[in-house]
This record gives sequence, structure tokens and C-alpha cells, in this order.
Amino acid sequence: MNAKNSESRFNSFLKFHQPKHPFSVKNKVKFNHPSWENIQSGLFQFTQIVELNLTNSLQSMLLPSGAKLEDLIFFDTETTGLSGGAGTFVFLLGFAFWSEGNLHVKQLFVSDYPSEPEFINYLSDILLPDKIYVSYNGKCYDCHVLTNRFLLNGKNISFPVQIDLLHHCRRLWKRILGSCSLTDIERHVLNITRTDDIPGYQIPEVYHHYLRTGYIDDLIKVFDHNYQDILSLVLLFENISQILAEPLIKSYHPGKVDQLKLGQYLIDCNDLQGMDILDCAFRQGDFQAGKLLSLQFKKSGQWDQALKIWNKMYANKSLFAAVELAKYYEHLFRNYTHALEIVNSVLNWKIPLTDDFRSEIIHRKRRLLRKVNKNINFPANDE
Amino acid sequence: MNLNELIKQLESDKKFLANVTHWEKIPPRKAQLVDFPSDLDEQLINSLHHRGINQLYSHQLKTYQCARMGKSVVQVTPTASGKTWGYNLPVLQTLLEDTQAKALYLFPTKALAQDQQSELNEIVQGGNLPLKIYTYDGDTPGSIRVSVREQGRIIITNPDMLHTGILPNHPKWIKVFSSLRFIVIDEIHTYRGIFGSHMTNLIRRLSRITQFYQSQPVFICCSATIGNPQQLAERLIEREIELIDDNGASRGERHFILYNPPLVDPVQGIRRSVVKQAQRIALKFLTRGIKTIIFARSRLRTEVIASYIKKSMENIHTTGHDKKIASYRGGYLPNQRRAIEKGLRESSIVGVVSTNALELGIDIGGLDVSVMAGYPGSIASTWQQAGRAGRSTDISVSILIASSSPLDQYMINHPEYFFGKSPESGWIDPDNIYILLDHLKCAAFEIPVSTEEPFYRDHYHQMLNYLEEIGLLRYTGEKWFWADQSYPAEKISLRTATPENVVIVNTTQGKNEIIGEMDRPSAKMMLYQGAVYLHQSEQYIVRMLDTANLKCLVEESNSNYYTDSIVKTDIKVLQIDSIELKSGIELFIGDVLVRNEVTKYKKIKFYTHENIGYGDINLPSEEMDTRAIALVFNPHTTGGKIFDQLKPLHREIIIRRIGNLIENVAPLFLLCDRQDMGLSERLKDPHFDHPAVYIYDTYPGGTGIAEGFAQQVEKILQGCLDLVNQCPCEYSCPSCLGPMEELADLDIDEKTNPKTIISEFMQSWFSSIQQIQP
Repeated sequence: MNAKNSESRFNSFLKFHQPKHPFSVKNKVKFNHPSWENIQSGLFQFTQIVELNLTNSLQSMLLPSGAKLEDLIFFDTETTGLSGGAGTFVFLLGFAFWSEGNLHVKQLFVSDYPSEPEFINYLSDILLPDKIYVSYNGKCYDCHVLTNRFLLNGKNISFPVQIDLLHHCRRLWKRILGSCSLTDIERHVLNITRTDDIPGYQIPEVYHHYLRTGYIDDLIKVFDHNYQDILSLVLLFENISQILAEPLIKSYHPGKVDQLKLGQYLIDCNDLQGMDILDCAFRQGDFQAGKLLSLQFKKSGQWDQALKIWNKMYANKSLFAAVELAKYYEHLFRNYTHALEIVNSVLNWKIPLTDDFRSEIIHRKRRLLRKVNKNINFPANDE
Repeated sequence: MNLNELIKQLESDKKFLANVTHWEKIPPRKAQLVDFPSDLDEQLINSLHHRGINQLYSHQLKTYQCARMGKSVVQVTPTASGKTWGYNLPVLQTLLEDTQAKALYLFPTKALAQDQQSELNEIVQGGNLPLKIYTYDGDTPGSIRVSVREQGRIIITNPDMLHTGILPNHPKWIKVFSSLRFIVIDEIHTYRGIFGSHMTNLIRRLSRITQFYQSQPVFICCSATIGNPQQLAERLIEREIELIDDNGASRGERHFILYNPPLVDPVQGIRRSVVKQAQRIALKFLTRGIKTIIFARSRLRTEVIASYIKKSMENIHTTGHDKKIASYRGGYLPNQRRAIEKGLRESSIVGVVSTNALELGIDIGGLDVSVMAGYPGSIASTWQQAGRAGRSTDISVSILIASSSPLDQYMINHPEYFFGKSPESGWIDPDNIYILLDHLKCAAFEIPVSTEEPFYRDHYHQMLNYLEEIGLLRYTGEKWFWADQSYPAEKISLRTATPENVVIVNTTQGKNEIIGEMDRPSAKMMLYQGAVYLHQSEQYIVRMLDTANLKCLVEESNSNYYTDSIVKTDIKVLQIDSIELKSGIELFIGDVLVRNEVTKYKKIKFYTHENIGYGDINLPSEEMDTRAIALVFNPHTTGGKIFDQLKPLHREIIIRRIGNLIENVAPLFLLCDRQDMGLSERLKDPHFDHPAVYIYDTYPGGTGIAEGFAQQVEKILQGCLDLVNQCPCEYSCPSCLGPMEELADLDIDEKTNPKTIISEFMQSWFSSIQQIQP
């Protein structure tokens, strides 16, 4: 097809599709702000040193063994779209690191698309593979977008060690808060309430608007938003480190931290304080905690402790406790009659049972009946 | 009795022969066998031996040699000619030689992709080949997606997934794209019209990305019977391509029989029902244990024919009584479909009744007989369906049974037309502005567009400027960057069909079991409350259809009737964008609403096909906003005036026939497929108050069919006149004015010959314009 034909086809298309409000096309935007240093063509940097007391972070359980606070890079990106993919650019990267007892916060701003190669070049000296990367949802988002940007500029990047605080927050607060957005966590955990904050979903459009018009007032709000994100990351790291270091102090405020998940986490880390926390939760009526705790006791052979929990739960018609008790009386104590009584009472509880569970319990009952008849010749206590 | 003996019997069966309008014997062909290429890997040879293959067909070797030399090829060979080895051999060989090399396979449907996956699995396992092959589509679980990208050597996918999932995320696929050696595109004949135009643009995007990662893949395309395979393939991949169409596979003798059911009512021209004829003829073969496929034209007919055949097989003591009859169509659950395909391959199923779903290359092994209950609608489809019967050496039979419809009757009575005409060609228009603009957005999202793109030449500048003006792109640093927060591929669909499916749940006696699914528009036509839904010949009655939540509740039933809905299509003008006086008539371009509505259904008694009642359907209509052009014969225009002065009978004939004519001509000028445009002709249009012909776009929102028509209206109309004058038929045929209608056209003579009437009308119309415009 020749050019002329295509042009006339396009003109006939335009007849019906004239843009209603064409954007005045300004191809060059000039970014200028006194607090931002122009470090390379189109690339701007903002730096701030913050005095912070991070006692708990220094010895944080979140740190991989052998790692120091100085190895951490806290980071967060702002992007031109929210769905990822090759057309989503990173236009702002905020990051913070700990050096000589102070927190250094930096932000890098790409003032237009063509400056991306300089941005990526600059970053490749900072985002080194031996660092530990702390983020909020970075595992699923920021790292992917950054990796894409590096690859598209012919460079490699990897984030071998990552601490994604979103995962920790979900563990500790998801059951309490429902949502684990950074703003919710800030409000609940850090007592920070943002004012005049720009919601995350609006950020891409702010950047596009700035590119079209050069308007920077909203852009400044995005910088502030990102800056606050970075600070919150650091504070959250400190806060979670403190909870893990002194779990008993924090966890005495029910509702503030999910004690079950905290206890579970500590037990996974071989920290025995987890048992105390579960015990505390169980006393407040959390049977899930009781279940976990009793299984810990069972594992270590502390049958008395386990039995105490099971009996209390059994009195409240816990199927789990009933099965554990039946197992205990059948296999360890060899009191088949008592085991059978428990099994029968479960069947009389009139609570809905899943098919699998019912057939399991009936199977157990049959076996117990056989054992009772064989061993003691005791008349079977049938329903 | 075997098939040979049965054919002999049929050849002397006077009752049968009385209805046969043509019996074509196609002689057997010997295989052209060649040795394996000398460079073939030992492991691959083992794998071939493992599958009982000791030599190749000549066309397979030719494809192998071309592809290995880096030449792109298109291979056109019929079913059962081992076409998949044509591309699998060069790909596997290269992948074994170069441990980094990758290949991408594109299939038009998920089912075909799965079929290929299992075939490749067998080859790879059989030969212990160290190659990982994955299917990547909407069903691929998130947990293995990373392995697909990191370890896959052959990635099997479909165009839609490539478009929305892979290309926009190409950095994740760097391992595949940076060492991509082959792109295999099977079933390219399906990429026609608008879908094909999308496909070319998708390939352009794919090529930009392989260029970015500096790989130069070779294309291997495969096509079923089509008029212009090489041209279509070259338009699709925009490279020179080698055509390989000399089939080296052997084929047994084939009998192609055209069968016209006897007239039951010669006065009204009603013939015995194609459904029952198909049943009777298929039973001749099935009762003797001969493997038979029956193609029906709709899902409903498929089920009805299958249930008749099953019933008859129960009553007759047959040699194949342990063998099963199955029905096959879209809407069955994937594992049910797989089970039927397997049953056919392993011969535990002796007969299958199918929609055109089995026309495509799904592997169901060899069959002996193919019965087509009604003309499949195109010559290419007919050959494809007929080709389902016939193995390498055995004799085979294909029978086309005509319905009473004019098109079927024309075909069955004009065998010379059918056997003499080459199959339909596929047209595409990759530079369609609408499609091009959509893909330019996606391309810019993937990699910023520069002025030196091989695909986006000078005159694309203004399109890019346009996209910049509406704020989607940003031109800076001599490149156009994607400058919007959205993900463009998400909003652009390559196909018309909606992806929404209604789930069919069997709730008999408190059950809650999913038995099938159906796309929403079809559900409205088949799953309305009160409908009898047939699934694998089981009967269900529809209790509730919830189109908003895409759910349909059915219960098992046992009624003596089935149901068929009555669909009404109407067009409403929403907005007129332009009125133009061109070619001596008025042309209106604007937005229309095309509404498909089902308001009533018929209850049809099984076997007798009596109509035993009606029911009402209360469902929201299926609506589509699209673009249309209306050719309006306003008596105040020169063309309209000439039309107005004709006799009423002639006016009626012209309006009735002209749509057919336009449908035959316009796709050549608009480079679209027939299915991409809809037509509606009215002697007195309610909106314009004059005779009018609407041509509308069947893609929601439009793809430029209406605008393109307006631009080329003179050429298209001239083309129409030329076709009428040049068509060798006497009064009318499917290639020009449409098939003759048996009765309405019975008393046609020279005075009422539609060809003469239309030709004379158009000639005087056109000459009147020339007088005005010197």
C-alpha cells in the first residue's frame, strides 16, 4: 500500500475521530526545584540525613544471620502505571540506608522518559547484589518493575536477599485489621496519620499530567508521599524488630498484635517466648492458639500440659481436642473404654461433621470397640 | 460387511442412487517416501522409530530442509498427512543441537494447543529427549509460569495470550526472545479478515521484540485447504515465504457422494429432513462397525442427531454394539472432550456427531466415513470436513446431504460448481486504521516507537501524532513513549466473541454438578428457562438462566420434545455522523445498535419434528454498538430516482438480491472476511423512509468496514456490476446473486431473470451519474 492511500484512509478516519480535547503538546518539560539537585541530564536527586534511634533494628530478628543494619537498603518506587509490564516506567525511586549512626534518605527523580538510561546507570552503582532490600510489597511489584527497566536498558540486576515487610505485617495484623495497606499499618502500629497525602492510585496520572503541562505542585505531593513511605518502612522495621525482641511486652495489649501468629512465628524461629504468647492467647479464649500450643507440648512429650489444654477445649466441644484425647487414651494410656466414651460423645454432640471426619471417627470407634471386647471383655457401650 | 462391500452394495442400490446427484471417485495416491535427512539426531531417529516411522513423506523433508536453511515456509497439506512432523522435526533437531534455542508455537484455540502439547510429550518421552515443552495460556497455573519462562524450550500458546500476556511483559521472557529460532503458526487459514489483520499486527509486534533481543526466528506456517495460502501467509508474516503444497502422503480411494433427500412435498419444495437422512445414512455404516463422523451445522442439531443414532443403535443388534456413539461440540468440559478424542483414537468410540469443532486439526485418528448433514457453508470447510475420512491406504467415503435451503440445493444440483471451484481465499488488511492504531498503542507500551521502525514507515507519523494528541503517547527524544497509566492490550480484543461463559449446573435431586459451559450470546439462544438442553444426548430442562451471574441451573428430564428459539435481529440507527451524496445515492455513516433478541421458542417433537407448542422467553437482548453505512435510494437522488421508477417486482428482486452481491464483492475490496460484515436490506427502511441497504461491522465499536466501504463505494458497486455480467451462471448462483430459491424462482424466464434486472438497473444508474458529473 502506498503512503498516499494510507494517508487518505487516515484522513477519513479522522473525520469521525477528531480528538475532542486535544492535549497541547509540549514536548520539553523543565523540572526545577531548589531542594533537588540536578545530578545528570534530566535526573534529579533529593537527599536528607535523619537522626533516628534504631536500637531494636540493630539486633533485629528480621536480619539474616551475620547481617548488619548497614547492609540494608529501604526502598520504594513510583511508576507510570499500576499494572506492570514493559510500558510501566519507574519515575521516582526513594531509598534509605544507615551510615555512621544516621539514616540517609535519598530520592531520584526521572524528569522525562529519555533520562531513563542515566537513571539506570546511576542505580547500578547503588543497588548492589550484596545488599539486603527492605520494601513494602517489593517482592511482587517494585523488584519486578525495576528488573524490567534494567533488562530493557541492557543491564542485569538481582535482589538476592529481600525483606518484604508486607508479609510480616500480614502475619501480625491481617486478622486484626483486615487490610494491610501501608496507611492502615501506619495508623494502627506507628500512630502516623498522613495529611494531604496523595493516594497511590492517582500517582501515575500526576506524572503524566506533569509531562504534558509542566505542572509540579502535585508532583511535590508525590515526592512527599514517597518520602513518607521510606520513613515508614524504617520505622516499621524498627517496630517489628522490637515486637519480636520483646514479644511479651507488646503482646499484653490484646488487639494490638495477632498473638497467635506472633507466637507461631517465634516458635518457627525457635524462640520459646512464643509458647508464653500462645498460652496468653489461649487463656483469652483463642482455641487456635491452644491447638498450636498443645501440639508443641505433645511434640516435646509434655503430656500433662497438653492434656490440660485438650480437656479444657474438649469441655467446649472441640473436635480437635476430642481426637487428640482419644488418640492419647488409646495409644498411650491404653484406656480403650475412656477413648471410646470420648468418641461416642463426639458423635452425640450434634455438630455438623465433614464426611471425611465422620468416617475417620467411625473407623476409630470400630477399632476401639474391637479392642475393648478383646482386652477386657467389657460390654460395648453402643449408642 | 466391510466398507468396500458396502460401497458396492450402495452403487447398485436404486433407492439410494435415486437421490444421489453426483458420485465422484477420487483415485488413490501412492506415498512419496524419502529417507530421513542425514543430519538428523540419533535421539530423534529413535523417537521416530519408536512411533513406527521409518521414512518421511516428501513434503515433510522439504519443509525440514527449508526451515533448517532459515527459509520461512508455509505447508499446505490435508489432514492425516503428518503435517506436525513437518514443523516438529526441524524445531526439535535445532533445539537438540543448540541447547539455548527456543521455539514458539501459536495455535488459534486452547484445545489445539493442548493437543499439540500431548503429541510433543509423546515424542519427547518416547525418545528421552532433554527438552521441556510447556503450554502457556490462561489456564496455566501461576506456580509454573516462572518455569515456563525460564526452562521452556518450546512454548505453546495462542494469539490472545501472546497479545495480552507475553508481549507486554517481554522482559520477563528475555530467555525465550533472545534465543528464539522458530515461530510455528498452525491453522493460518483461520486468520482471515479482521482476525487476520490483528494477527499481522501481532506478528509485527513480535518481530519488533525479537529484533530488540537480536534473534531472527524462522517462521513455519501450516494451513488447511484455502485459495491463497502463500499470499495469506506472506501478508501475515510480511516476509517472503516458500510454499510447500505437494502432498507426499498416500491416500486410499475416496468416494465423494452428493445426496439430495427426496421431496416430501413437491409443491412447497420441502424435502425429507436432513437430520433424519443423516441418521439413516450414518447408520448404514455404524451398524457395520465402520468408523464414521457426522458433521451437523449447529450445536442443537449435533445433539439431536446423536440421540437419534444412539437410540437406533440400542435397538439394532449390531456388530458394533459394544462401541459407543458420542457427540462433540464447544461447551463440553475439557476433560469430557479429551475423553472423546481419546475414545476415537483408540476406537472405543465408533461414531461421533460433531459441529465444525472437529473440523480443525484435533487429532482423532483415522475415520472411514464422513457424513455432512447440510452444506458446511464454504468450499474450504467442505473439503476439510470431507477430509476427516480417509486413512493412508483404506477406502473412504464422504457424503454431503443437502438441506432444503437454497444454498444447499444449489450446491447439490451443480456438482460442477462445487468440484470446479477452488476454495475461498483469505483476505486481510493489516493497515486497517482501527486495528493498526490499537496495535501501535500496544507496540509503544512494549518498546518506545522510533521513526526508524521497519514496520512503521513515514505515513504512520500522523497516526502517532494522533495518539499523542489524545494523550496516549509522548514524543520526546525522537521516540514515542507510552504515556498513560493503562495496560493497552487489556482493552483490545482480537476476536468478536465475548470471553464470558455461562456455567451449566445440574441440580437434579440436590446435586450441584457442573456439566458444561456456553458463551453468553449462545446461552440466550439455547439455555432460556423452559429450554430442553441436550448434552451428550442426555436431556435436561432449564430451570433458571442468570445471565448477569453467568449461571444456568438445569435438571434431568425426559420429555418427548426439544426446543429451538426464534432469533430476531434488528438494527437501530443511534447517531448519524455524515451524509454524503456519492454514486448518485445517499450514504449515511454512523453508529448503529445491532440487537439480537430471542422472544419465543418452539417445542419440536422428537422424530416427527412436529411443532407442538410455543413458549415465551424473557431475556435481555444481546446488543452491540457498532458502525454502519447505509446505502439509501432516496428518489431525489439520481440513482434513487431510477430505482423508484422500476416495477415493484423488480424493486423487490433487486433489494432481495443486492445484499448477496455486495457480500460476494465487498470483502475483496475491504480485505475482510464475510463474517466481519453484516448486511440488512429493506425495501422501505423505517429510519430513512426509503429503500436502504445497511452494511455494518460485526466487531463491537467497528473496525472501519463502514468507512472503507464509503471510500471505495464506486469501485465496489462497479465490481458488483462486473460480477453480475461476468458470472457464467444463467440466472443466479452463490457466487453472484445468491443461490436460486427453488420455488420462488421456479418460473423465472428472460423477463424476470434477476441477473438481467440488476445488471440493467445498475447500468442505467451508473450512466446517469456520469451524465451529471462530466
